[in-house]
Amino acid sequence: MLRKLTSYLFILPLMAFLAVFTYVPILQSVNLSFRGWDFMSPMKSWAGLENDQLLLSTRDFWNAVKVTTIFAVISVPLRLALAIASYLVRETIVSRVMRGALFLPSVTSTVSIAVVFSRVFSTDYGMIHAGLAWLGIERVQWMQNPQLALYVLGRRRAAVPRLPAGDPAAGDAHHLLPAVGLCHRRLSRFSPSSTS
Amino acid sequence: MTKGGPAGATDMIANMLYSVGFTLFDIGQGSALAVILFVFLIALAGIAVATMAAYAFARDRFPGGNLAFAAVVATLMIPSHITRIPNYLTLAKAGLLDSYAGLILPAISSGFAAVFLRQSIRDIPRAG
Repeated sequence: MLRKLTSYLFILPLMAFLAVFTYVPILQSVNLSFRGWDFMSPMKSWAGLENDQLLLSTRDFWNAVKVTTIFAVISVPLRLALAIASYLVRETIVSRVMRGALFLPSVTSTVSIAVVFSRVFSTDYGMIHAGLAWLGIERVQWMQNPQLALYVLGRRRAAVPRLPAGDPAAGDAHHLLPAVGLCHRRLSRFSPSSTS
Repeated sequence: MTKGGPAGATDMIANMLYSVGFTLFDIGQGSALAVILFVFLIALAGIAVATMAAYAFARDRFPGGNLAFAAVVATLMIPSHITRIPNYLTLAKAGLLDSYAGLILPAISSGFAAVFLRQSIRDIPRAG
């Protein structure tokens, strides 16, 4: 009996931390998603499904869905293939080192990965550019080209600080800052002119 | 109290941080110390909490144990962004914003560490 109690006491700290910082916040998130709130006012008015309706009606949301889908379809099978391959090979020293190398990204800080890869894919000073220049290939704007950027970032999770914005030459400012577009709609909905 | 003296005998990191940063005005080095302190605390506290739970999950069979472990594994699949805003609100309510505690406490609970430690502990053969 005492032994059983010990087990519960052992897992108690972890479960308590997870409850406070993961489980409860998830429920809070769900609750907040049904409310109209600007982070400042004490009132959190009930909005029901309005937030979701607003999202579904924006172009930016569907663009994000599209990009996420492409990313998942390409990235997940590649990782799965690597995982299966590392399971199937014979157990040697090389395969052990490889397995460690495959796991390393999971425990590496995203910030350091982002910094390294923004250097690797830098247009002017990048390693890849250096290699291609040696072969006589023109420089490629890896992270500035809207068609290319997603596939470059897909090598790691999209964590590069200099985010690939849409082509500025196209003048599509709405596309550059999806959040601004959303905020704008939201504000105009609550401004006096629209309520009258 | 003794400003880290006599001869550095009581100079802990938190104390040294202030003396380097605000007496010598080497803010860069002071900040570096702050980061080191922060990482130490997260690592030590996180490992302590995770190892305890991992041991119980690996070796003990108790009612609800599998369910609790499933709940821990489930946290691995939850994007951290979901809990960002509520966590901020929780910390704000507890008055922990802009403090070490506010940064360290949410980082301690690592389901990731617990799950992987459980697997390693299972690999260790039992004595007798």
